[in-house]
Amino acid sequence: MSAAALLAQASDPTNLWQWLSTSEERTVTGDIPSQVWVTLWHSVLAFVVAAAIAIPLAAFLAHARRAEVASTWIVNLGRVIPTVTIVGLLALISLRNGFGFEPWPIVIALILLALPPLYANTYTAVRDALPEAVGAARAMGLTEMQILRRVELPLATPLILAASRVALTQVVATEALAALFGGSGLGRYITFGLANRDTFEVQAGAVLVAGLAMTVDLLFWFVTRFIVPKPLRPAPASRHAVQRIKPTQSITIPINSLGGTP
Amino acid sequence: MNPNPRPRRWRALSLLAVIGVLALASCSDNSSDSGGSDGGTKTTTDSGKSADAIRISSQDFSEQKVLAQVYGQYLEDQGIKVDIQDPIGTRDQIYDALESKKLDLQLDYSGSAVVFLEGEDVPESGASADAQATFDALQPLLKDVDLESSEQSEAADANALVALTSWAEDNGVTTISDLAGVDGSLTLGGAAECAERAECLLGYRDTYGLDLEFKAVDYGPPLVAALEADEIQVAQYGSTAPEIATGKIVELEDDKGLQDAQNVVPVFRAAVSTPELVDALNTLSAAITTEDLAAWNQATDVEKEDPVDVATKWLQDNDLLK
Amino acid sequence: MSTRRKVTLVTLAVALVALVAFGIWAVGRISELDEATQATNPLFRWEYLFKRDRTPGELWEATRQHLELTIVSVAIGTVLSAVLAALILRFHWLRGIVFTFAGFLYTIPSLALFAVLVTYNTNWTAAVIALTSYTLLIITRNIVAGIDGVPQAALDAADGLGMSRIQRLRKVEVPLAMPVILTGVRVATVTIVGLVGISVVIQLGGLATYIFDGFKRTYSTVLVLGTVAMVLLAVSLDLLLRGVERLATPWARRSAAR
Repeated sequence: MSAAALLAQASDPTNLWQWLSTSEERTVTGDIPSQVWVTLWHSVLAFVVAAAIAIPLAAFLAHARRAEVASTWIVNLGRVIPTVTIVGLLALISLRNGFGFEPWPIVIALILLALPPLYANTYTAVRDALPEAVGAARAMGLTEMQILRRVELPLATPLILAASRVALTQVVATEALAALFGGSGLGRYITFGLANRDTFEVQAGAVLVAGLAMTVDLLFWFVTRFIVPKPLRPAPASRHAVQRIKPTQSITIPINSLGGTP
Repeated sequence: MNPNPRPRRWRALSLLAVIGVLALASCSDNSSDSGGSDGGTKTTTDSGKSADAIRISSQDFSEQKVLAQVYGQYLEDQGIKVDIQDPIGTRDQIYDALESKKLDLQLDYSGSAVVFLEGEDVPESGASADAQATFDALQPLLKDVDLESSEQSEAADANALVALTSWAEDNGVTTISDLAGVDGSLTLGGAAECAERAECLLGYRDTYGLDLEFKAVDYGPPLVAALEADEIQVAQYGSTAPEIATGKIVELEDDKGLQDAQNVVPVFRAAVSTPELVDALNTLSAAITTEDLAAWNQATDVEKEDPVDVATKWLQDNDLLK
Repeated sequence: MSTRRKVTLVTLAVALVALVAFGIWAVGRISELDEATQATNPLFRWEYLFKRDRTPGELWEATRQHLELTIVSVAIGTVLSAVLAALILRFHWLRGIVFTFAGFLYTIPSLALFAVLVTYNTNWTAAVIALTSYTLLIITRNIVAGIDGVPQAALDAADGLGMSRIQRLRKVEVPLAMPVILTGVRVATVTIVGLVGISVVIQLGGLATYIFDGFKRTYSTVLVLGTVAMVLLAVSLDLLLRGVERLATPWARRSAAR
């Protein structure tokens, strides 16, 4: 008899679905809702902080046409520094200083992951906002802040929203890395399953992480599609001449502006 | 003007595809040339540079790495061909590798090996605090999966439930049973497989009736760091941990005798067993003591020396190298 | 202009100061560690890099493993992307399907993909499949965008010069699309360097083994070394491929100079 057969337990699930529906399998790794919750709050906190830093900064700098080179370099920098190294480094620093495994290492790493795409795309969007509209607004006597707030930002919103969606999805997907360095979240099922040679647990973890990322992605799309006022939607074939985009072309985030790694 | 642009693009792309295939062909040639000596893939290939060498690996923590090096270097010195590989991970993964013939020899701990091979459904485990009985119980279990062991060493790294010395004093805890009287929920930290072992989380729950939470923490210094950060209050660690010697953490007395004997025992595939191999393993196993294990851990985990060097130095100091 | 530059400089300076302050704070926290730890385990032990004989060999070996996985995956990814892009441009209705599918692959977290694939493949194959799937979206999108972006005027001019289709393809379309395509390959490569690190979970980490080893032994020297090596590898590949881009598209330089 093989070691694997010896280990096979009568109570062990025989397929993935059974694993997902048997709660006693998760007494150790935590139940699914609580791990989903942890993953979500880590991700949303990181995303909100990153957006609060990146979007205003980029909008202001782009309006003033400043630090153009810096904005491309920020993206390049984000890409060459792998998130896994940041999480590892921060986790160790955090441990050595008695702060424990979480949540700060993963949250800071996720903030750094989300910053570049948010910053770069906001910058591009505001900078490329219709010059005619900006000129008209200036002629009407709007102050620079008013131009930024009432003309440029609304025009840039579709691209900013599209970038936000990409960034948030990436952040949710990447939160799984926390489990590699003693953190919690859905990635834990994967690391745990790998350590214990529990294939279903690994698969369940993978399905859950990917599923959550895609759910968030769809939700964000849904919100921007139906809740955001029509002219501001990043929808394809918008008749309003936001940006200089061909009517048939959907707004896709230039892949080159994605920082970090999934 | 340009009624049908697509076919032209199609051709452009075909050309690109051809170029890509050529590039790929040259790349994969390179990689297959170098694949044989590749350190990272050697654990995945059945044959390789050392088809006839004894492949030794270990679990992924310092004491195991040193053990693999000590045995590996000694066997090599005795004229037996060995290939000491990168650590594989957990015990589950080690036995998986042994079973699929990707690995030939590992150094296990008797009690844990018995509990692991028995599985969870055994009414009474063959593992106990009696070293000889545990070793005897191990033999048939190994045989079932085409494995063998040589004589066990006197050296043992028993599982130990540890807490920060300061924490234990504050809460008046000296034995594991005392934990029941501590207010608030307690979290046990340990390697991931601890959660599924009768000698670990399950044992503390069943034998001691403790309602412990569990957190998976990498075995080794991270456990102590997690204790210090109060993310866990007790940890499943080894009795040879260097932090016990320095007084930073304290071992809680196992007053209900949950812990089994954990003597170092070489486990290898029956197919690679030869009298010379067994003789060499027995000679070396007899030379290692529990104090040696503790000293190795001090050297690797506290002084951050390399397992390779720690092993060589120990072998030389004990005149085991020719 | 000068005030703009000043503001830019000030912004960058503030960012730099914040970064340095964080560094000092972190080092300060670490210096509060007890003396025994300080003596044996400072943030970075330079001896490890300069006095330990084994370090260069190990670093080289890890780098080689890392590079091997990166190059093989990007190469396969480039070929597959070329095929996908060809199909998209030939059969237009495929566009949405292919991009949605590639986008879907890109959303799957790498940790999950490695973990699942390894149950069906050898570790190395699993890693290559996973890594390749991440390059698809990036490279395919860039190839399609590159060919799409060839100006109609250029095509018309080529036709006007009496070029055959093959000639036009060779001399106009591919060269004009080349910068965008190469950018895609470069971005994919740099992304993959980071993702190879996560393949540590299936014992194929290359340079990232340092990161996990350092964490497991709470040995920051090793961890810092791994981080720096990985970033340096990504930067050098980035620069190398930028160089290739420039060599492959000499006209871009000329027009930029103009």
